[in-house]
Amino acid sequence: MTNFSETKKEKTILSNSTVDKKENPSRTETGRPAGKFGDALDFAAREAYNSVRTNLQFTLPNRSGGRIVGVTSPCPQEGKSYTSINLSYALAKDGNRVLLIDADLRRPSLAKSLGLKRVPGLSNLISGGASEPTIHHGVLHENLDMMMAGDIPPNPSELLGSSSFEERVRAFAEQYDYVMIDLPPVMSVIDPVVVATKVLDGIIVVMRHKETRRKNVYKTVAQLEFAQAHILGFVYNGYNGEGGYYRGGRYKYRKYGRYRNYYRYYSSHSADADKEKNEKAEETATEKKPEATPEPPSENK
Amino acid sequence: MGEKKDGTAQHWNTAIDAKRNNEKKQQQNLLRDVIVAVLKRWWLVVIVTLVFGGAMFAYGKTHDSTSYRATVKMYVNTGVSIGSSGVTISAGDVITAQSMVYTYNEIINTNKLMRTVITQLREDYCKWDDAKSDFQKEYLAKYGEECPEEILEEQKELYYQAHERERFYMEGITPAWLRARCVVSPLNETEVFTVTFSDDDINRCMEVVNTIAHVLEDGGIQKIINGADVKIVDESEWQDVIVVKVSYRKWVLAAAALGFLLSAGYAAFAGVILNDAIESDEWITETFGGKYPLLGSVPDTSNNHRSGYGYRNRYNSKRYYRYYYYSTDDRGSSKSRKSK
Repeated sequence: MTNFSETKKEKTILSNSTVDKKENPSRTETGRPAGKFGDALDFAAREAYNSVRTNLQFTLPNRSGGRIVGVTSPCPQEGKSYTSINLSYALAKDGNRVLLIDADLRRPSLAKSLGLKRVPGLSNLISGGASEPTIHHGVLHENLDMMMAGDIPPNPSELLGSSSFEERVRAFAEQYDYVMIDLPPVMSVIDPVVVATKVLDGIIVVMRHKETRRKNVYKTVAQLEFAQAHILGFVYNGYNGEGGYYRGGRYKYRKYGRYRNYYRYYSSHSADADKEKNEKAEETATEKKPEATPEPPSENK
Repeated sequence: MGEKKDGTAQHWNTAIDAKRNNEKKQQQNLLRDVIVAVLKRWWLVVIVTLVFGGAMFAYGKTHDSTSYRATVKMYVNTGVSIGSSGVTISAGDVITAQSMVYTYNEIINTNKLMRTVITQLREDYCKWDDAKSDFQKEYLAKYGEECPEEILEEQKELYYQAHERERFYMEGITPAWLRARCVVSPLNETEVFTVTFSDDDINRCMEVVNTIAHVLEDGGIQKIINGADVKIVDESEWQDVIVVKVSYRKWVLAAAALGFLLSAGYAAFAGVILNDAIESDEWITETFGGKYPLLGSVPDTSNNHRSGYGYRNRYNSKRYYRYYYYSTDDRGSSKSRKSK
């Protein structure tokens, strides 16, 4: 069950952003993202991203200002953009102001995935083509802003290694709690290593279940270590829930089976609707039956 | 106590069921992985299957695959003359004769009889008898007297040496070689049986089968079974020889099937056994756990993990990789990475 009010809200947020419906009609006609992002994810995936978010907050160095985090993978199609969008969403939902930048200047995918206008974007900004950054405000969440890749430049490595890029990103870090940078794969191009050594506080390496090869992981880690990049950790993406702990299917909830209905309840109702219901329930409870107030199930039950 | 025991038993039953289910699931997963691995390399399977089938087809087209089959018919003599009138043949006689066919089959296939056939074949083929009479006539005309036996023996040896090549034609024949090509079978529930011989050479085919028939008729059987006798009903002749063309269709199919099995086996082996892909997040924690943490494991968010959330089936992996690698104008950096 999807949350209608929240879906509507997302729609309005997306439609308020600078979406060019003519450029990509198949995706932008409705102004809705092409894949499952944010609240459209199922419970297990959302919890997994919340877990990644929490671990990331522990792993990042403690310092003032926003943190700049890169997301890469050994090879293409391993879920970099997907992870960066959903992780940014999880951070934004936690109350952080997040800017997600598509720095994959050769094969940008954020704009396609979210049905947003790709141009102008990062490349236009750092090459001097645009004086002001074009940021899509409130994408998926009110705290989540995004900057697309822009025009595909002939010299992406030089642009990402330029001082202009470094200055811009550091300036964004002053305005946001987190600046997430979606990078190209390490095994294909040198860009993520360049960016990691210049501006990143840390880099996340995404791997895909049954797709990412071990030798490529070794090479990626060696490459990043050689460049003295700070590897924050790994995100293991896309496993199909076989035989593990809380991994889908029968044992998905295992110890937490008693909360299944609780989660279902919450996943099928919006936060607003919940608030309204709770308020109404509280009102009626105080007026008529105080013992009928709905209590969320607790672990002691 | 009883409740506790019941509870323990139930616990163990549940654990055993869970283990069985897990094993079953693992087998299903392995089967699925094998199928996926083969489907991933479908092009290889198709190519190898076609190559194997095509090679066999080409072999069949280029090589002469004709063989010949000559047959003689023989009568099992049970003491009743086939040409005599007024004699009745009972059903018992027919059954006895048919059962004798199987006995004869065993006798024909013995080394002893086959060697007799081979000796006969060599002598017949060299045609010494014809040459002998010609030589005697020549000797008489030249010296005016009969040729003595010693000289005849010498001439025979010389003749055999001179016709060594022809003898060689029959030299390769062994009892096993004959047995492999000779079939004895009863004919339509009668007292007649057939001896069939198959060979690539039509002359040799007829020669061999007729020689076998003559050896049998001239006492080959009688030397072993007292009183038993066979007679030639019909000898093999040119017009009766059956030309058999080997059908390569089934061989083409067999070769294609072999190619399919080999390629599919290789694909499964390469896809499952030699697969280097990460199978679980445990590998990450075991390999990098001390240095870099596993921030999280995200389950597949789609029912069909191949289709993913839309972009996995849009790009072929290798193509996408190539695009990344070669689409950059910053070739220098790419090349320098490669050289490193």
